[in-house]
Amino acid sequence: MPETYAPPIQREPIESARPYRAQRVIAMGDPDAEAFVVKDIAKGGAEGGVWRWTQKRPTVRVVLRSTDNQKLVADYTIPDVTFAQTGPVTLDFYVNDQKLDSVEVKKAGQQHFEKPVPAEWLKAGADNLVAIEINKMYVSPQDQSTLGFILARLGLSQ
Amino acid sequence: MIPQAVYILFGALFTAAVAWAIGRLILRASGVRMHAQEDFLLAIVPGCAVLSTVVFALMCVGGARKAVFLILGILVLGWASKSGVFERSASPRFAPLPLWQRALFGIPFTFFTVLYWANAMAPEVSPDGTTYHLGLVARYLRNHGFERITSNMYASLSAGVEMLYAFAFAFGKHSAAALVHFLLTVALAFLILNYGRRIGKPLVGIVAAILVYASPIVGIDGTTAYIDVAVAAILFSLFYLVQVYLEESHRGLLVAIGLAAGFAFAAKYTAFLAIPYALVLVAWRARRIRPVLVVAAAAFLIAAPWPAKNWIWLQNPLAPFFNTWFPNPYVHVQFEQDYRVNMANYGLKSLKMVPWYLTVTGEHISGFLGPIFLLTPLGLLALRRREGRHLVAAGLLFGATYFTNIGTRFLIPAAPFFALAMSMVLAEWRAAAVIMVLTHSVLSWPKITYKYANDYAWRLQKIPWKSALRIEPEAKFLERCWACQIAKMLDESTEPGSTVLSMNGVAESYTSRKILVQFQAAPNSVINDFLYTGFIGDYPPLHHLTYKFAPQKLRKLRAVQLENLTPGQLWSVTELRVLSQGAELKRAPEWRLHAKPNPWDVQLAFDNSPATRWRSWEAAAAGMFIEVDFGREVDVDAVRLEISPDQNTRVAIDGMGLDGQWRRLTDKFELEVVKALDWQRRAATREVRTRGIRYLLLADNDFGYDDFKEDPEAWGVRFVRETNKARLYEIMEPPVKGATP
Repeated sequence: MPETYAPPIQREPIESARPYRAQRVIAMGDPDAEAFVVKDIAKGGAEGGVWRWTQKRPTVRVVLRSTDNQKLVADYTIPDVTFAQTGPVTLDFYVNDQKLDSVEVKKAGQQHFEKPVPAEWLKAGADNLVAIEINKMYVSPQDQSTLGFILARLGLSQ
Repeated sequence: MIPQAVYILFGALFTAAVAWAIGRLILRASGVRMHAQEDFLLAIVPGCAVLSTVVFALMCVGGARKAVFLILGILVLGWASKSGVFERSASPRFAPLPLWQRALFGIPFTFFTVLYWANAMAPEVSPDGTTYHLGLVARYLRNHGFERITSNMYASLSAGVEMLYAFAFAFGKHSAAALVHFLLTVALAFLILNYGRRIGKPLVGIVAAILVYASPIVGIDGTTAYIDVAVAAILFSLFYLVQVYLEESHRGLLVAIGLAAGFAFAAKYTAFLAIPYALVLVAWRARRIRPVLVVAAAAFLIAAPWPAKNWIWLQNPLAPFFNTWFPNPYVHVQFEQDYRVNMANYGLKSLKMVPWYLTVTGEHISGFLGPIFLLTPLGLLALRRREGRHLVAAGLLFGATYFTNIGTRFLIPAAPFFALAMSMVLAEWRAAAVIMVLTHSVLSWPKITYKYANDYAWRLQKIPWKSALRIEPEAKFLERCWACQIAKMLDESTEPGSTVLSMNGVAESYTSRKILVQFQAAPNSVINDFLYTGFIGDYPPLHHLTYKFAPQKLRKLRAVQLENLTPGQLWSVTELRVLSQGAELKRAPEWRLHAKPNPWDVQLAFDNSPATRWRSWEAAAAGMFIEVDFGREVDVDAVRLEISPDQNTRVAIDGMGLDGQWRRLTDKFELEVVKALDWQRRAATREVRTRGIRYLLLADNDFGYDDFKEDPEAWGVRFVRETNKARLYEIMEPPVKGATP
């Protein structure tokens, strides 16, 4: 092995980089979304690359570096097909099993939810469970299988 | 279709038969005649030594192929058959054992043999067996021979037993290799038994044979592709051969003694004392130089290829150890120091409980010998007899290296000697002998061990007969093996020929991908350090130290370390920039860079990357330096060191002017603290990718796992797949064009 060397190729700065940001809002279309799913969210890839069916209480886990100024964020849809059977539904939003809010959805369509979460409900450096519970499930007349709603994003954001 | 079990059995039995036949040919040619049982048993190790060395030679010339092994084996067996090796020995036999003694040995032996055979036949899932013992064997066989491996320190350990595994693996894969180890385990039991008969104390042999054979650590080790019981069989064969030589002074034994002694070193470095042991005792008995030279030559033939291979490929004949004596780019001095300390204490604050762990609970040090071994000190009473003195001396000698690694299996090579010494004392009373055998057998049975030993102690658990016979398919069995599933994921999710950087060992014997485990070699650790700069706060170059001095013409310049720090405190320089009139001098092709120590990484301090840094990789010491030879005189008035804040080093700048003399320019600096770059993480993966590594494997307990998981894009990686909480990423950041890895 030689013991002296010429200067190597000089590295250029990477111009296109952006600041690091933690993945706290789980987009159902992300390739690794299933790694964050705790329960009641359909597996096997997102429909249309962006959404998944839920069951009664879809839950994800997210790790936080800080518990300050966090808010629960959710993008979901009550589709016509389920709404026609269930009628208006109530969604309860939970963080670490503590109820944050309750929303009555009176019509089908896309919904967005956002609400600050008390810092004392959260744990830094550990899993935090974020969940939505629907009070009425759609039951298929054909095979009695159940569906909750359509979920696109769920998690915590600063 | 031929069942898989047939291939496995063929691979193991064919290997054993060929090795044994070679050994018999050697002993017959030497004119040695012992008892018939000894003729049979003492042929095994010398034969293994020669077969192992032949496989080594084939590995060197790219001839490690199944067809070559098959032809070689058939030729050996044919020659042996023609020479009458397989005919019933005309040598006298030991007097038959009384029925009760046969039962005392035969009943526990049969139970444990069934247990052991089934476990050895079952798919191999042992940690070291699947990762490197067979991982390297599989890699060599794919390559039809050795390849220069600088990224895995285990590849530089002597691997004499693994050469036998390679012979078997070619036919029956993993389980055939494990079965070879099992057969050597059986051979060890019979060697111990017959040694007792030789010294006229068959009951002592029976008791000691069962103490060793039924021992839980021997059971788990000897039925997997580890090598420790094989080493015990080698050392005990050597001892046995030497004892026969001391009694009979038959020069025909010298070659076998030398082969066994050399094979001990070839099997495991820690058994190196076998060679001086053999040489000293032969010299003592013979009182002439010629017999000693015969032993030395035979030992050299078997042992020397391993350090020679390391000398040629790694510049260190004793790799991966003694790196301060043989500095090289493949194992860091700091790593070796840490490794030695860790192996010598396994993280235990005190060693006073080690005898308890060793014999009863098996916690912390991976396995246990069995509670009966608490009586080992009684073996000292055997010193009253000549045989006892030889046994205790051999046990102490071959156990002396235990303190370099206090894992229980490292005491297996000494166990036969202590078991015999202990039995020599206790088996003087027939009732005591029976009680010892029965107690040890019962306490060593897997189900019973769970009543007293630690739940996590390494041991066999049950008789997996369905898996052994492949009634349960191998793939199904391997689903329970974490590391094997990771290996499967790598094969399914990466392209053939891909290289994967992993934080922990992967079952390399089950994947054809090249795995770089971060701690297994210096180049891997350096690459891993790049990644750590991405998420460990004080690893990036946040401190910029500017050393200003009077403008002058310099031919060479050095940053010199002034501190002597304690082990673990390294000196690191991310960038060394030479300045003149406030501007950095462009790094010219004629510059020559040097560093002491670790000159091989010096370019990392001159590549303009915030992710790479030259590190001393041993404790910072006064006099260490990084040097730039400008190749001509240049005007210089300042040097800037961009360093990470994770160090307590102090540096001066020396320069060499026209007169060729080094002089101190300054040790004063101005400190500027800067923020980490947004592209620090991508700079890290760019460097990893530049070194030909396309994939990263991170388990959920690995450092950095969460950081990658939370924002893969910031790292320039793509999540590929997750199995058993281990995530595979593909590095999307393109490599640096034109850069040499």
